[in-house]
Amino acid sequence: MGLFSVKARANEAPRLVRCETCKYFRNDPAYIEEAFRGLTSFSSGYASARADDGLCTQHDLYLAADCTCPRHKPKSFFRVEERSIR
Amino acid sequence: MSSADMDSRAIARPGTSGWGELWRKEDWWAIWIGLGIVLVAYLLFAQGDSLKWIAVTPAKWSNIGQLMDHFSANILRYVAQLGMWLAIFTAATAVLGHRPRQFIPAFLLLYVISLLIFSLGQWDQANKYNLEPPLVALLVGMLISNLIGLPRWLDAGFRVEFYVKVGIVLLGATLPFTLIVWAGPIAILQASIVSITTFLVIFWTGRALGLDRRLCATLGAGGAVCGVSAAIAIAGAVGAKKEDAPIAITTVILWAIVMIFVLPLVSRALGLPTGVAGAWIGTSEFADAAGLAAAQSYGNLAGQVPGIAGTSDQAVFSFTLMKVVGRDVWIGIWAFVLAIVATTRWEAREVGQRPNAAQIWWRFPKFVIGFVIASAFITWVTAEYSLADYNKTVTPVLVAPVKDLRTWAFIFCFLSIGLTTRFRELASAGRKPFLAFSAGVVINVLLGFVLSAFVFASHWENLTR
Repeated sequence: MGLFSVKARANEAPRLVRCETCKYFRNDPAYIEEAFRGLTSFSSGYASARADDGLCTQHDLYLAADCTCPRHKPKSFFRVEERSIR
Repeated sequence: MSSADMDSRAIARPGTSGWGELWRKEDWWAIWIGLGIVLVAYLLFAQGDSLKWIAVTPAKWSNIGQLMDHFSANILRYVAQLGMWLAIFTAATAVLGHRPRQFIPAFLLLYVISLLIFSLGQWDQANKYNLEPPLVALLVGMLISNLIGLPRWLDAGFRVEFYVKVGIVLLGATLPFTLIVWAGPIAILQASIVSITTFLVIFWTGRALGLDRRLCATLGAGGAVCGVSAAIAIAGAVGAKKEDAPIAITTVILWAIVMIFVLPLVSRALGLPTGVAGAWIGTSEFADAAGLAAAQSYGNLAGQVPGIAGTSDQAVFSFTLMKVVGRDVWIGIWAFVLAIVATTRWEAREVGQRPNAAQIWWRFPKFVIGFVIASAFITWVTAEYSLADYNKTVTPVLVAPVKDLRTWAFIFCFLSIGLTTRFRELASAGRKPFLAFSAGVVINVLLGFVLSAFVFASHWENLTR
C-alpha cells in the first residue's frame, strides 16, 4: 500500500514531491566533495551544516532536499517498484 | 574518483535530517569520539589511573640524541596511540562511507608526518626560527600536495573538518563551563556585530558589481559566518547556481590561508595579549580549522617571546568562544532567514521551496553540543576540588592527557588542510566575486580588531584569570 501511495503522489501531484526523491538530484557527500573541489580543505560533504542539500543536474542548481519542481522525475528505485508491482 | 565512480555514487541519499544523522554526519561522530575519550579519561581518573600513558607527545629536546632517546623509551606508547586513533577513525569513516583500505594508509602517512612536525615544534630553538607546528603542518602539507602531489584516494584520510571537530569537543573538556557562560554573551554580541556588517558589505558590494543575489549571499555567508561550511549551507538554502559554491569556496580558501599567517604576524607586531589576539582571530578568520591554526600558533608564543602577555590556552579559548559560540551556531538561522528572503523577495524559479524553520536544527553544527557537554561534564565532576587540588591532581592526571590528544587532533587537521589544498584544482573565482569578498575582509578585520583590542579588550585579556 505504501508503494502504491508513493507512486500515486509522484504521478498525480509532482509539484508536491521533494527534490530529494528526484533522479536528477544528487546529494551523496562523496559526490558533492568531488563536484565542489576544495570543499574538503575547510569543510566537508558530511557536515551537519550541509543538511541534505544536493545538486540538481537538470537545472544546474544547488538545492535543499525539500525543494519541489514540476519537472520532478522519480528515481529508478520507484520505477523498479512499479514494475515489480505489475 | 572516475566519472563512472561518480555516477555510481550519484544517487540521492535518503534524508539524514532524522535519526540517521547520528551516524551519517561527521559532527555526530566527533561527539561520540570526543565524549568517549573524555569519559574514558574520567573513569581512569576516578580509579586512580590516567589516560596519559597513551596520550604521549614528543618531549622538549635540544639535540637529536635526546629526541631519539625519547622515542626509544616510548615506542610502545606511540604504537598504542596510533592503534587507538586508527581504530576509532577507521570505524567512524567506514560508517560514513569511506573505504578502510584507502583511509588506513592515508592516516598512517598523516600520523608519521604529524609526529615529525610535532617533534620539530618541541625543539628548544623552534620559536627562534618560527617553527610553530600549526604553520609548519600547513606549509608542509601544501608543499606536498602542490609540488609533489599525492593520489587523490589518499584524501580519505585527510579529513580536516572531522579532526577539527574532534579536537574542539576535546577542547571543551579543558574549558571551564563557567567560562562559556561568562564569556559566551560577549562573544555572541561581538560576533553578531561583525558578522552582520561583513555580510551586508559583501552582499551590497557584490550587487553594486552586478553579481547575482544568490552568489552574493553565498559569498557573504562565507565571509561572515563560518567560511566554506556557511557558504555551501547558504548556497543550498537559497538555491544558488552550481558554479556559485565553488566560487565562494575558492575565495574563502585563499583569504583563510592568507589570514592564518597575517593575523598572528600582526598580533605579534602589536604585542597583543593572547586572549585579545584569539578573540580577533575568532572574529576575523573564515574557517574553524584555519583560525585554530592561527590562534594556537600565536598562543604558543606566550612565555617564549617578550612582550606577549597571557597564556597559550587564552588564545585558543577566546578564539573558540568567539568562532564556535559567537558565529558557527547561528548558521541555521542565517540559512532560514535567507531562504525566506530568497523565496519571497528574489526572482521566482521553477524549483521552489517553502522555507522550513526545522533547518535551523538540521544545519546546526552538532559538534558544538559535544563541546558544551564535555565542558559541563568535567566542570561538574571536578567541582569538589579546591583550586590548589585541581591544579595539583586534576590537571596533570585528567585534563592534561585530554589536552595532549586534542593537540594531536589539531595537528592532523592542520596537516590535512595543506594536503587537501591544491591550488590548481580550485575553481576560478573571477574578479568581481573576489573584490566583493575582499571588501568584506577589510571591514571584518578592522572591525574585529577594534572590538577585540579596544571595546572588549579587558574582557578578552582577563579570560581564565
